[in-house]
Amino acid sequence: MKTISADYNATTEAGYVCLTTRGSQEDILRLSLGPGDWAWLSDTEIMVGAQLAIDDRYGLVGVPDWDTLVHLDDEGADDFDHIMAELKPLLAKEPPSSKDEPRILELLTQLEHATRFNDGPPANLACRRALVLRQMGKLGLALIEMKEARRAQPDAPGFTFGYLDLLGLEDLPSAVSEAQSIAESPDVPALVLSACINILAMHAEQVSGEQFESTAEQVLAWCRRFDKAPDLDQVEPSLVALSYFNRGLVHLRAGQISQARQAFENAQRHYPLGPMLDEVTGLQTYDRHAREVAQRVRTINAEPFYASSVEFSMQPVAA
Amino acid sequence: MAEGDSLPDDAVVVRCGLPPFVNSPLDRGCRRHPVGLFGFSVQAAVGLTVQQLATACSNNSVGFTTVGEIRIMGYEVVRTSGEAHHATVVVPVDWSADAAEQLALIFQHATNPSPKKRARP
Repeated sequence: MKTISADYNATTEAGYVCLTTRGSQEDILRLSLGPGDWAWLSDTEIMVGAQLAIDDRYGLVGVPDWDTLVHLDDEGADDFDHIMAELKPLLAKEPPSSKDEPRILELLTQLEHATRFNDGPPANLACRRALVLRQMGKLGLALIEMKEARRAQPDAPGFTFGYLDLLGLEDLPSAVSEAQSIAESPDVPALVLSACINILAMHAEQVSGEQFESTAEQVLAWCRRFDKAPDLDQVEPSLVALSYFNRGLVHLRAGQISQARQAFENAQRHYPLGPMLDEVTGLQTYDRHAREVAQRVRTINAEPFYASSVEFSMQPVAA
Repeated sequence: MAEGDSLPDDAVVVRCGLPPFVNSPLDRGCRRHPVGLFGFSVQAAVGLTVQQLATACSNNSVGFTTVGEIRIMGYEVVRTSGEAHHATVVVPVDWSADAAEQLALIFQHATNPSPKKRARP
């Protein structure tokens, strides 16, 4: 985890944590962090996600997002079995409850601190934290967790997918550059390509004229590559549906209604759930409603990937 | 009490965290406060109890002592701006880790009866 030593005694009137202490400064220098960046603040007893900012009076501060507060000093917070006994049922709960999300985040973080692993904390632990943070709407923090997972396993398509998905939600221009760079490789896995398509389709919605035309062409070209990918059968149905939805939206905006409807019907056939069920096949024109549906589809259809592809099995070296 | 005022000997001093602060040593918590004083942060006030001062802390544990005890160790405690009853224990800029460890030993442990529940700003 990208962690800065923090002294919660040194807080401003507004409750921001002063990061001008010796301990904080050393970590900030080591991690090359600056205003605007997200990081975890920790005094080894409590931990919280925060965005760095400049306070006129106090200098560099962390603006904590207290929704992400984790107590490492709770009773049982250092006991692997205790943590897992509470965590497993919460992760398996159907349907999942948003009320459980902060507690899941807390337990996952306690688990990492309480356990010694053979080769450091497993990447899927960071990925799980990224998922719960994404569900909580904490995209900046989710992104640093997914980067952590990807750093541990750079060749795992799932972590690259998650990284692109979160980057697309947090910083679309950077995501477009990343997607174009990643998609240059002819061997890019279908899962990763689905994320690239999604990002470029989001970008297509924000541009107009010739730029739209060239972006739309690229979306459709990547979709054709996606359809022929040798590992297409390993991609979640919800993401296959998302690729059809994205090409449908491009066609819709270009006024190619019959092609759009065909793509939407394909999307619904692959994943007849959520907004796919009625709303998508009912789209006739590219308007505000279509863009709202697109936002929902993109958010919801990526989630089954996180839940299904990140196997949660881990064994500590010593509890 | 105004910013920059020294606190009387009987004022209670609370520092969030588990004393003797082994994992977050006092010297690493030092900074230059905007008023120009160098030191580490505490909660301190006349007439307030440990429990009352600890409500500014989210930690389950706090360390406590008095301004008088800190003065015996050779340091000053000054009211400074910050959250709640913020004060600064003033130390030399070249304060050593050993000296910080010695001062940490005078803080007694107390369980925080009501760790601060923070609302998102």
